[in-house]
Amino acid sequence: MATADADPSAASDAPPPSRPAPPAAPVIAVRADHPVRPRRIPEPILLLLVVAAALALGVPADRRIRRIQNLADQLSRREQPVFVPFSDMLADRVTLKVHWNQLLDARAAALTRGDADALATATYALLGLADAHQEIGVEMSLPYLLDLVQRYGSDPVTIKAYAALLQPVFLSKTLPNHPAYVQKMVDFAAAQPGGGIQLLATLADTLQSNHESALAIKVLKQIRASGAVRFDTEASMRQLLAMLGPSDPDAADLKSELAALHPLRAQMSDEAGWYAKFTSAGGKGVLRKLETLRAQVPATPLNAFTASADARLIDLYLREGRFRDAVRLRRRFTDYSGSDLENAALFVQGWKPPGDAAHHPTPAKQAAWVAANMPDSVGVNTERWRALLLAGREADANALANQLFAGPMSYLAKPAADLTDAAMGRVSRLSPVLVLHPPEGDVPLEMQGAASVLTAEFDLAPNAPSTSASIHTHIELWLSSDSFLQIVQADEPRSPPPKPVVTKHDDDPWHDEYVDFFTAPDCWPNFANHWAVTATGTTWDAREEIAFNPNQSKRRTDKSLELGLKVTAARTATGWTMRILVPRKLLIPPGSTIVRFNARRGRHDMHAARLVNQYYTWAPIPGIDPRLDLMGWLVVPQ
Amino acid sequence: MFPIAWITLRRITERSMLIQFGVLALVLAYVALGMDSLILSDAGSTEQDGLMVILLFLTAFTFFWTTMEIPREIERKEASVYLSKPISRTRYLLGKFIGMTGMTLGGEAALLTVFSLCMLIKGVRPSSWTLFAAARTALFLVMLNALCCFASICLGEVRGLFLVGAVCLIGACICAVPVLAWASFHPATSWGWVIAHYLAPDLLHYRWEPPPQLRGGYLADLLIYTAGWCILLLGFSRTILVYKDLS
Repeated sequence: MATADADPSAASDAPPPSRPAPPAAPVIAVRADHPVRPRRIPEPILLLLVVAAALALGVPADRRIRRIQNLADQLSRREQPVFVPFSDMLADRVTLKVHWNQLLDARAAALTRGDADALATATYALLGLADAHQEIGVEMSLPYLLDLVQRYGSDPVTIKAYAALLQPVFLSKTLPNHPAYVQKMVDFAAAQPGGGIQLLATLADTLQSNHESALAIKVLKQIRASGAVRFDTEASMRQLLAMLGPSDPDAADLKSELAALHPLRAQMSDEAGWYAKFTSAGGKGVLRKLETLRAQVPATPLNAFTASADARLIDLYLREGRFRDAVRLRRRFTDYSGSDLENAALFVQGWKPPGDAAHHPTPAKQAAWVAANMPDSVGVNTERWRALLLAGREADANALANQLFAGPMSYLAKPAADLTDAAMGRVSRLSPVLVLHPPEGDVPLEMQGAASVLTAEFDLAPNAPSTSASIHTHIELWLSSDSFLQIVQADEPRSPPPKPVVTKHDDDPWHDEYVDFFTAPDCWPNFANHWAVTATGTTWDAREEIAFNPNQSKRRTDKSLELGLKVTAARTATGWTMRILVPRKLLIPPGSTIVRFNARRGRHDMHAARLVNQYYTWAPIPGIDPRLDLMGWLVVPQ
Repeated sequence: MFPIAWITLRRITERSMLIQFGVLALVLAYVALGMDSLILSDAGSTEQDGLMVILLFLTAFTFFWTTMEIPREIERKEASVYLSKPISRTRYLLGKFIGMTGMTLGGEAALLTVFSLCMLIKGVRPSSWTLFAAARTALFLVMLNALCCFASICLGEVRGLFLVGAVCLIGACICAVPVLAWASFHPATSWGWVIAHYLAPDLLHYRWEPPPQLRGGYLADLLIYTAGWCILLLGFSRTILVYKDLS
């Protein structure tokens, strides 16, 4: 540490200043006896100059340094080379901003392409991000929403944007435009199936929370215009009734319609309660239980719930081979209009499990309950269509089919048209068709003594140009009132024949040489029976569920089915032969009928040096998949 | 100005100073010669350890000595003696700043020399990073000296220490502010953050490791940035000193 006397002496040793001090009065009056150079620049200006010089140097240098650091980017990649305080918090903020910027980029790209859907998607993503993060604030999305509705205001993709713009958070900035927005929403709702009731109800709720009564009444009246009060419009109509004055001409009608919902609700509650018991029945002997439950309520007239129960019973009867019972129930649908299906579905949607009525079921539990107890409108309407065909009312059936087999079910339009031809006896329109006929010569041993024996025969054809047509497969079908016999004679030029690997019943036969058959006794896509036998006589049988669905990933195979196959197989000089005897009960309805049918041979030798993978079919099928929707028709005459 | 700087700088030859620097030199020798063979085998880590020791010591040295220097001279009336000569307060201030900075940088040069020699004896050639880190440390010490001068003139010795500590704490965290500005969704907030960033020196600049090819430009910018802060701090210090009653 310096001493007090050292420094002054050192200072006195210093050389004298180069410039003599002027005689002016000192500004800094430390000591009155020494001269101080007068200041030429006022002190505040001097300080300002210093600050300006510091900023001129420091700010650009700082910006260049930060550009080299690129800290935001390093934080987003969490790769900064040194410790940075609050790096996790900063990285989260940066990540959020990066996400926001990416959405802005996506939005800009959509604008450039003129892609309304992409623009709406990006805008709604911005809205969602802004809404989810308080540091952004939902207000940030306002210009993008406004831009979207300005550019594509008449496109239904902007529905969500209009709905957002009507929210209270934007009220102060969008209020003058609310009438126009509401009108657009009403227009969009009118274009939706069912009048967009849900959209209008939500809109009315929003307007009421904004205290925009006039607009809310306008929207509620739009709902009112959709028809009589139903369960889905009940809440909205109660709002409307509360907002309408007693002098309104519609108030009295509305009040009476709302009052009429009470007895309907009570009636539907009873019916739905019964149907809930019906749908929950299961386990062993389920069909008997369901028949008992069904007997507890009148057979006719049908309502949405009893019709759904009958549709399920019909399906079970068909699987059990009780074709006559299925037809008996199906005839009940002839006079059922199905008009209460929608209301019943709306009722169930708002219905709580009876046991949980006092509790609040979880959303998942509520959804599962609703799904399980919802009236089966597709099944009911399909049975209505089948019933109309049974009754010969083709025009009515076609009208219903046009509604039923549209949209997501349009893949059934062709099978429906084929079935209509079959039901109306227009066999000539079906293809390929195999008509059974009485035998002209001897009947096989298995058919001797049987009643009503019919027969037909055909050859299988290769399903691809590369498949050899010289390898023949001849099949004879023999049908009696009890049994269905297939006699197969197959050429096999390979010698020795491929070694069999499948030896156990219901093991996949596709690894061996095999022949398989398909029948859909109801000619309709609920299921098809499928059985296969390998060249050495190993059997496989199953039920193909959702049989006609061309989307193979949705099809499933139920191997629990047992058809009672009896097989004899033997080698011949030119190949192999096989006799397959199957009880008729599950395959072909009794009496005169038409069923979907196909036969196929697979030449699969997975163990050969060169893979043999060839198919021969009766009804042409391209490719490997059996394509049950392409099955032919087997006609059983009187 | 220069006589005052020289008087200040000359104090590095005082016994207490020599003892402090001598002890530190021994520590550095131990780091350079011993630690990498006893504990670590990574020569790069040895360099970092040595530079870190130098930085910590000189930071503490500057923190205490520079902050105390001017207030004590004012308290002991030594400043009045200087100013009784034909020396303006500006020259006095600059002289003290240059002297204290020179002492710090001289100490750093000496310690770095000892450390490098020890590393060479050990057979490890100091890398170019050592030079970069030493230059970066020197610039930080220059800025810290200016800050200490400002704080001590502004608030005196003890409160000045607290001010320097507070500014350094803020400076260590202020690197977050430009990031917050970038990540902000509201332009007004962004500008607020950017302005706030210039209220304290960003100490991350003195710790950042740029890629080797950018080190030269980075140091040049850091030099200008440091100069900007020194001008600002010394400018304010001068104004305060001008209006300060030293009688």
